[in-house]
Amino acid sequence: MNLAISILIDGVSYGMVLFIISIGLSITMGLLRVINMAHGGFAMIGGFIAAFATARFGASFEVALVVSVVAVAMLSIPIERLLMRRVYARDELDQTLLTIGMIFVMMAAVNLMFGSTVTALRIPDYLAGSITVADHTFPKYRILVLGAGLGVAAGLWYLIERTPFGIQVRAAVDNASIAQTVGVDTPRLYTLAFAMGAGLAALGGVIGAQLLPMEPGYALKYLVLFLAVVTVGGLGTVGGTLAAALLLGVIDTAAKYLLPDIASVALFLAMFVVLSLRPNGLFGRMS
Amino acid sequence: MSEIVCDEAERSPMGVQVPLWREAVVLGLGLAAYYTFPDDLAFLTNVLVTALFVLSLSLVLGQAGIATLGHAAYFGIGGYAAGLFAIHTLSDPIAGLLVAGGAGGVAALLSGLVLLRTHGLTFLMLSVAFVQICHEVANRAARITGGDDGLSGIVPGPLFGAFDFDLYGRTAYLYALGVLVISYLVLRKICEAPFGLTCRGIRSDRLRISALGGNVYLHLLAVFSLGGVFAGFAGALSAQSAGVAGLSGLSFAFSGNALVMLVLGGVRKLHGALVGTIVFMVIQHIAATINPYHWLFIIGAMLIGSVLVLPTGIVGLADTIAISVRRRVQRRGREP
Amino acid sequence: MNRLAVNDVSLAFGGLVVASHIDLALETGARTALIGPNGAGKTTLVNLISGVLRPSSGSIELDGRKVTGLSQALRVKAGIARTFQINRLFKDMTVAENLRIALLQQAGDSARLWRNRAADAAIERDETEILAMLGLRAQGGRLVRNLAYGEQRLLEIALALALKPRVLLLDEPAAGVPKGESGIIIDVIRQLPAELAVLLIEHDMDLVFRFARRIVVLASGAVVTIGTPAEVAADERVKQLYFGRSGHGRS
Repeated sequence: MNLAISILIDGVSYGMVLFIISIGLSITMGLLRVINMAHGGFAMIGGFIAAFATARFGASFEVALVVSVVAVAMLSIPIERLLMRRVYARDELDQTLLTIGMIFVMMAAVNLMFGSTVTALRIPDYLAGSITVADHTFPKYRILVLGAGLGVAAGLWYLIERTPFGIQVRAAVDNASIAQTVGVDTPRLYTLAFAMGAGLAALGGVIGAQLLPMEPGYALKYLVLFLAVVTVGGLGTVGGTLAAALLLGVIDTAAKYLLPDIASVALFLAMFVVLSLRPNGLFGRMS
Repeated sequence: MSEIVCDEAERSPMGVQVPLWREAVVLGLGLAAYYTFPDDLAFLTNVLVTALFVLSLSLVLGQAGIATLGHAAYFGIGGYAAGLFAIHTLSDPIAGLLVAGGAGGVAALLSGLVLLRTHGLTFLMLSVAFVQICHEVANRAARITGGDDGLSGIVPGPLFGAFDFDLYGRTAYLYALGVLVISYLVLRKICEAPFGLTCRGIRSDRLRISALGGNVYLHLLAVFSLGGVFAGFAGALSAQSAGVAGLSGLSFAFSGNALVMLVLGGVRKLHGALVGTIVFMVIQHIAATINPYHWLFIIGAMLIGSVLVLPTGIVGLADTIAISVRRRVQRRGREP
Repeated sequence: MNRLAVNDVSLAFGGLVVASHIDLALETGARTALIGPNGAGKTTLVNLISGVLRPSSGSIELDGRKVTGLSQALRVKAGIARTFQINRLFKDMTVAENLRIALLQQAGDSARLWRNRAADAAIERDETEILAMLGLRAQGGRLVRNLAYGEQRLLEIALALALKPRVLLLDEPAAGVPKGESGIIIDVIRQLPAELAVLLIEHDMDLVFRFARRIVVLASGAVVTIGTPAEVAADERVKQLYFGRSGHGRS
């Protein structure tokens, strides 16, 4: 029983980290209809900036978190304006290639600035350790991750479904030219949505640094994971991405505990099975 | 106003029709390299092997528009098949080559049955999942494949029963060159035939082909399997020339590298694969001493530049230059 | 026996009825026009006949044989060809190559891995013939993306003819073509093979009345009336549908 709970806690928190990082990708791909292989790069840069801020400037975890999210979001703006915008109308292969090029450049840049070893991110003392509830011990950090994930999910759902911003984004995606004629500034909207996605990736990168350690190879290594979550969940759906992230997180963790032999491919097997049966993902509409 | 006609037919830059001139050029360059760099044959053989692999990718991606990152699976499977065949059954290299092609083709066919029911991003992800799964299976089946260390002790028998694979790699190089040139010829002929034309139609507009009565799924299955066959050949060459078949060939990273080489050279024409491979690997060889992350930066910048500035690759650039030169020559010829 | 028979075909998407009990027949050599206001379901009907959509009820027969269960590709093989209202051509290939793809499909030769002089020569003959019929001989080597729009519309028709159909569905062949160029399209349509059963969707009433021996009027997914041009022109319901428009230009 304890094993099951451990698997659940670890799996869910891993899934939550995947969710927070991947939801930005799901939104940009689902709403903006553009493939962005470099999304993991934003998570990576966010993590590195936070680590740098705490190690070099002694900043507190919270400050470092905010700084990195904002910094990455700002960084994503010129990237969207100068690079992404040029390939919105091009085919998927061109978008894939451009963003793969971007990842390579990001990885090289990070290595240049931070070196090529794994960088540790210290979490504050009040988050270390565990709490005990009803005879079960939960690491506090995992609770934070869980809370953060749910917060992001709820906030995004509200943003997309209820606020004018969300409505505008959805309208712009459904029909950009009509949206423009009613006064929606589509290019600015795209930039905002992209920046939001990047910021979320940075958030996930920082929060998840314990589970997905920072190293320059981060972006490429975990790229497949983020893409897996997004495709399995269905592009552009908050609920779908959350479900897929939790599902894959738990499966991966369970495999590590119970079937270590196939642990490294458990996730891929799951993805293979789901996509073969439901090519648009668990909750996806026709793309 | 003449325009670029996108076909693979016999059209030399000078406007003169010489049959098989492309193959002759490849053969010539290969032999020139052989005599010029006798100490670098191992590296050059690797270039030939990779060129064949990228050529098989060009068939699948460039001709039919199947964007896959899992193609290396068939390379790796071919390598292991050739290796196991040489160790346990027959050491004749040509036989091993054919077995590997068969293995690659069958693997592509079986995986294609599932994969090709999807397209776009889903297909891409499934192809990645497939190669990762194969990688892991090969890793686990260490008793058969040698796992992380690879399958070693592959000693190919004498080529045609007469030419031993020597220590300097001379036979291996010429053998690989021969296979590459013949494969290029075969693939080019296939692309010029109705099969290739239909592939390009599918790449352009799948639904239109259906509306013309074509079965897109079956056709894609055929070209995908064919791509697997030639990827298998490349895997066999790799195993036979290096004496070992390893996991590095059976990886998503290798697929990705091949894709970069193909894009660099030019996706639309088959010979883009050859040009791109040579350029990429030579630069990488020279830059090998530099920090690998600087190399990554160069490749990343090249990819970005390629997509934004030079979408048809080096070959496309060469074609554009050739056309404007030809036009200028024609205009001058018309002047009194 | 009729070439094509549409029997009591209906289709609804959820609550939206796009086709309602449509009965339609085309005899060999038919020259029938399908008209109706925007949203009447004309293209939907073409999609139903060509196999892009499956009806929720009713059946479609070709030469007495039921084709309702066949896919689009199989219906093409059976003899139903269509053109698209918005060009769907292989833009980065030449006119000749576009046509060749269609001819190879028709000949069942699209997967041949090698060149065959005899077969290729036969294809080339058909290619030349069709290009000549449509006045596109001179354009054979040009990339489709460089053709004038009217020429592209002609190529659309050429692709359908390459399939050697028994029934040809033309979805607004003159759509988007400047008035000055549409004459060529009209000429081509009038020179179509006599035994070919042709269903023409058009908004251009000029074209409709010069082409059709019978007219089917569709509105809101249902047939309003079927008759000769004279009968239809005099029909009060039809006049009402078009709100008294004389029919020149697009509605």
